[in-house]
Amino acid sequence: MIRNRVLSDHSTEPSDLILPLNLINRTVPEKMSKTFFAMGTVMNLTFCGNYVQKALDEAAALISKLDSLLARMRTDSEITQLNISTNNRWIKVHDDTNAVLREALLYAEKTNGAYDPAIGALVDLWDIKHCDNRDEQELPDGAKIQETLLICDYRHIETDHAGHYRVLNSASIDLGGIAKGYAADRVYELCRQQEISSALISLGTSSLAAMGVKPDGNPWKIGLKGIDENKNACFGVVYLKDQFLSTSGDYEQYFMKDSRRYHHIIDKKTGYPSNSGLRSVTVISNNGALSEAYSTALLIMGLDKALSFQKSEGGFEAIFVTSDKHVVCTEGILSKFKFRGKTLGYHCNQI
Amino acid sequence: MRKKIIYLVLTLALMLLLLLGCGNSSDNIAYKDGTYTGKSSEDDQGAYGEAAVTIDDNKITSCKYVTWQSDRTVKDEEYGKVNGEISNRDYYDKAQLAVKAMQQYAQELVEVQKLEDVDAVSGATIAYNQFVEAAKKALEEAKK
Repeated sequence: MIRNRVLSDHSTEPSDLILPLNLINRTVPEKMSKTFFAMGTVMNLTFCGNYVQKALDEAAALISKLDSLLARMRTDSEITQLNISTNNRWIKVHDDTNAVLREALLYAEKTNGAYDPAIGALVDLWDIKHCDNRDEQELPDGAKIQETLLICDYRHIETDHAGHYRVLNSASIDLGGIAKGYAADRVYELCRQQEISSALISLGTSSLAAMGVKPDGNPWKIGLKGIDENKNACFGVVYLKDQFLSTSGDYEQYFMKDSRRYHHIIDKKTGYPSNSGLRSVTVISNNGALSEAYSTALLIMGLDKALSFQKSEGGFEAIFVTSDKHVVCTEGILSKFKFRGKTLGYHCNQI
Repeated sequence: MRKKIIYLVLTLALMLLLLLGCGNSSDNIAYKDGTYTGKSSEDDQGAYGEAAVTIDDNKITSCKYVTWQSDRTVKDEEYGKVNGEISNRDYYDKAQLAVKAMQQYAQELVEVQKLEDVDAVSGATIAYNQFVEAAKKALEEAKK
């Protein structure tokens, strides 16, 4: 009988059985990985250090708990309770839910709604995540899109700044653009508290965190996937140490209609999937939630606005891929980025 | 509601079936016959979900999911009523496809990482329908 959500555990450095177990744990750092399913996608954790198995189990339990609090698709989550609450009722939420919502509202404000946690009604209307056929999908009715736009506004989410929230005007919270980043923050924090010397945290491949360096002393190498959905090749590599990295792109969840791509990142200004000329945005920063929320927001803004925002806001770096396969990097990431996309048809521009 | 149910069932089926071998480098993973249960972590009220998948001859023959309250009463009758009927051919087929695709996806990811000489690959979030789609393609290929 299996009692956890664990898919596989691999120990890459088996312990020496001659030594007493407690001595091994203290003196021989282990490297272990765990892969499991949560938040609607695949999670992969690699930890190095002491008592690795315990830390991996606790991290998996933590992610599972966050999923149970934050998932819109779960009828018993706190987000669902907020979304279905009526009569403008205030609801006291868990500390983690409070922390995610607080950050979500902050980034919505900073990006002027380009990232918006109240986008749920539009996400439901488009339902791109669940479209079964990429070539035979119908567009939502235009009038219905305009009507739905009216309720998608983060300012409909109110807080008393003491852990209570309420949702007004039938808005629907969707934390799909920040929850994995927040989970990366929490797992990173957990690793710091445990005897983990380095870690690579990959949540759905879109939100990653690298703690410390690899056991060989080198930074973690993160390949950035190209925008061609049928090719898994990477157009570049980011060398990551003690930072978070999130990627948003239009090439995984989408359908095609009249030669146009309709994907899952909805531009709240139009009610339609973003058509900004950016196909992929990777954000690197010291905060997982920020990285994830901003990667979505920047993709919606388009290159020029995104670059202006990055300069004025600061605190993060970004790598953009345009629809004509130009790779654009902000200055602060250049020393950590290696372009390898030439043979794949990419061009690299440096800002 | 139907889509939510499918999502839930797929999630659980993936969760449980991946327990049984995802990450294994072999394409021909043999599952041991039997019933495997998965239990979610408890929420603040002590409620938790429990799923059971039965494997017979390397295939899922049933999948059930129940949410329990801390006092061991069923939390939501809808779960038991609907998902308990996973013998429904539509759900069953989708779960089977998703499982196959997840195995394929995990294997592909490892191969890409090796090929690209990286520790991880970052890209847009992989969602469950991609696994289903990949499985459909694989099955279509297999028919040729």
